[in-house]
Amino acid sequence: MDAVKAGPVPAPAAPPPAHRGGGALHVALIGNPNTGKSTLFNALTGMRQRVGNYSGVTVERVEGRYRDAAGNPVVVLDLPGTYSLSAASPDEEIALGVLLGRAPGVPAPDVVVVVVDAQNLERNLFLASQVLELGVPTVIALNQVDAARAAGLQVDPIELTLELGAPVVATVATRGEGLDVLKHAVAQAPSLPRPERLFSLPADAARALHPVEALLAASGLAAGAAAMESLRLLAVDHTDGHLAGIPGLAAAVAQARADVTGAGHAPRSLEAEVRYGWIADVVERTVTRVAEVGRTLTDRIDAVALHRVWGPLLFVALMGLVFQSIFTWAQPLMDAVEGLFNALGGAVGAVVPPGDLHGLLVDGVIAGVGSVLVFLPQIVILFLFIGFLEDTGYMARAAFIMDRFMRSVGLHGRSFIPLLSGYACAVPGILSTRTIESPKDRLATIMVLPLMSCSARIPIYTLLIGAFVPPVALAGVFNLQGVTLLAMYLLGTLSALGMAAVFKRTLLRGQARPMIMELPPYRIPSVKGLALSVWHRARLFLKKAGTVILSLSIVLWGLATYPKTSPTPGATADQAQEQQLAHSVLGRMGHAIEPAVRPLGYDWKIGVGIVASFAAREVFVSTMGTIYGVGAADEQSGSLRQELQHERNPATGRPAYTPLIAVGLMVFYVFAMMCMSTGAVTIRETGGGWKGVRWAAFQFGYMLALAYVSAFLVYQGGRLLGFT
Amino acid sequence: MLKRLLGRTKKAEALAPARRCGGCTLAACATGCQAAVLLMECDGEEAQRLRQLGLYEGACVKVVDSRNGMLLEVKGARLALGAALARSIRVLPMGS
Repeated sequence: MDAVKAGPVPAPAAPPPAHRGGGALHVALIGNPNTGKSTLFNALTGMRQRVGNYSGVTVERVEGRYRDAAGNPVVVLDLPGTYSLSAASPDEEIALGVLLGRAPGVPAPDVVVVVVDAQNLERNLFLASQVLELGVPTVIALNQVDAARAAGLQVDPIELTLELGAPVVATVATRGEGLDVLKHAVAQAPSLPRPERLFSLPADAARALHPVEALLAASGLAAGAAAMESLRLLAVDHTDGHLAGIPGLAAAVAQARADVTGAGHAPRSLEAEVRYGWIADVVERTVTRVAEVGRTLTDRIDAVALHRVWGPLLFVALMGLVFQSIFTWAQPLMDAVEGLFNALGGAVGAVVPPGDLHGLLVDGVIAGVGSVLVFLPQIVILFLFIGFLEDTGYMARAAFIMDRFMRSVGLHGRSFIPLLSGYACAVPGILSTRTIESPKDRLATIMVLPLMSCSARIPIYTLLIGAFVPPVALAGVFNLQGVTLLAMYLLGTLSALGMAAVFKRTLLRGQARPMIMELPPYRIPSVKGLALSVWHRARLFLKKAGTVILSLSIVLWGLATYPKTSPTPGATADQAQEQQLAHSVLGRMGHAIEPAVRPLGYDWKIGVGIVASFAAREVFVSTMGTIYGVGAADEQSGSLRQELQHERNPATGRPAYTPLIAVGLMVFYVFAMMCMSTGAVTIRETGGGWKGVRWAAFQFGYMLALAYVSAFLVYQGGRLLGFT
Repeated sequence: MLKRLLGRTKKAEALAPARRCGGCTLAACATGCQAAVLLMECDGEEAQRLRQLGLYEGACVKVVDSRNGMLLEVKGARLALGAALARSIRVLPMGS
């Protein structure tokens, strides 16, 4: 065949990413999803990791450090898992930008480590071949060689090194095998000859691509990178991102496509054809099938997990287990956290003399932060499950099973798990939407996620149901209280799905992206990896929610404490507390919004509860406790329930709270977006800055409108129907 | 009986245009069937993702399970495809 090697284009010498003398060696870790890349990263860097974001995008930036055998510091950047360097998704754009040294705020890597799965060499070498062309010193970590051997495959690392022109190191990241050799290879890589393109393009196609290569090289790309980029641009329509601002690039690419077509090739599939063609030869020379393996374990599990009947049943059972664990297993731990904060409050209270400082520390800071930290056990258990299901490979199957159902409301199967996480807390749920590729699907999922009843609503539901729903049996089996609780969860879930359908048909119109998903082989997760992922997510929750709640608790305490008033002579301590509240800024705010909440059947005291809980809904219960002077109230508090039941409207003399008002109030809390932490995360995850603020404001606004209208309809409709 | 009849009709529909262009849709392939990809009639962006995953014009794929969506073996990896997407990929069956 008439073929030429894609020759170097005369180009201004781009500064090679030289190893900064004296400083740390910068290593970028890249690989397909499910190659054990993160496990390798954890094994290399241990706990010395930093998680952040790349500037301007919501792609997680994970960085770690280690010292090599000579004691030199090495900084490892764990790039997002990606199948190619097509720059079609934010993850891929970041990965390519980093490798080319064009990602803002990220130093160009001195060495790239490509993690490839030895079981699945053919597909993994696609990305590796793209990386090798960039001309950056590269080491290939041939991971999971043990699993490959179990599958009857023997990969020869030496032969592969010769084929790829870059050192190949066999590793088993889960057991830490091969790490020392890998570290040594990384330290040596900058002094080795640079890797280059190893396959040839058809001569006419190579000629057609020359003008594009020349343009890219003139913009400062190295020859190898320009050749890789030009071939990539034939296939995809992404000339923006790190290539933005190169004049005439789009036109040159269009011309190249026409020329390639004229030469009898398909421009869109040329890259896949030539790369996979070359890879097939490499695989033939380096991989030996040493044993015939019949049905693998993955085959056998999938026969059940993806079965038309058993698959969904297994899925429901697993989700039931997750749900059950969040609410049952977490309880003792939650009690322990609560006890800890009560004890802390008592200890601090005993030391600090009564007064404003006492109030600020005990009622403000400790009680406020404690009310949020109490949810940490639920969040950790949820993340443990999600991490376990992800690491075993089941999560991809779950998304596949749920895809058809989620598609009926316009979402992708991947939206399911974030929505499920929302039952525990919307903050981690929103963070886990990062796996959703389509920006519109992701945005729709974020917008509806706070409608899933989170654990912060449980205290409100429990208090109101306990006080106003009689524990009568329904059909001899069900308890009306339990059924009411279930109804609240169903209301939230169904409205989340309904609103998603509305958004996907209006504001975020667009078909959900079709299901294309790799189902990785099942494997046993590493305890260390699982612990690290839970720790990272829990830390994020603690940091984000903790800082917000801490400041909020102080503000709320101030609003409920000032301005001060002297109690009327003869008032009991409880009455004095109520008078103080009525006189405080918070009390005045409650009075101010009374006309607005009157149509919902609420008085100023509920108004205070609502105002106080705008930033964190669970504050409603403790605020009602303060109003009714029952001290440290919680939802189980019998005295608070009785106070609510016996409260009379001073004007009419009738009960101030009726079952109808209670149901209306619960419906209000099902819908209302009263959580500052969720708002903060929504701002960050929808693009940050003003754009994020606008989405968060929209989320807050539509949910508040939904809450108000629904509570109004429940109360007024109920009255019309003769309920009280 | 009805299910079998419906299944046959569905298969016949999917196969009908095949006789005109020498292929059928991927969705029409039964479990265990191997096929060569002829044409991708899906959205350009999806086609591109599939090509990078090894499902490109000329590549050979194996149908692992066709009962519930489409489960394929492509370049040694297992790939799940939505049914609509599988209908937009034209293949040449090469036996099982």
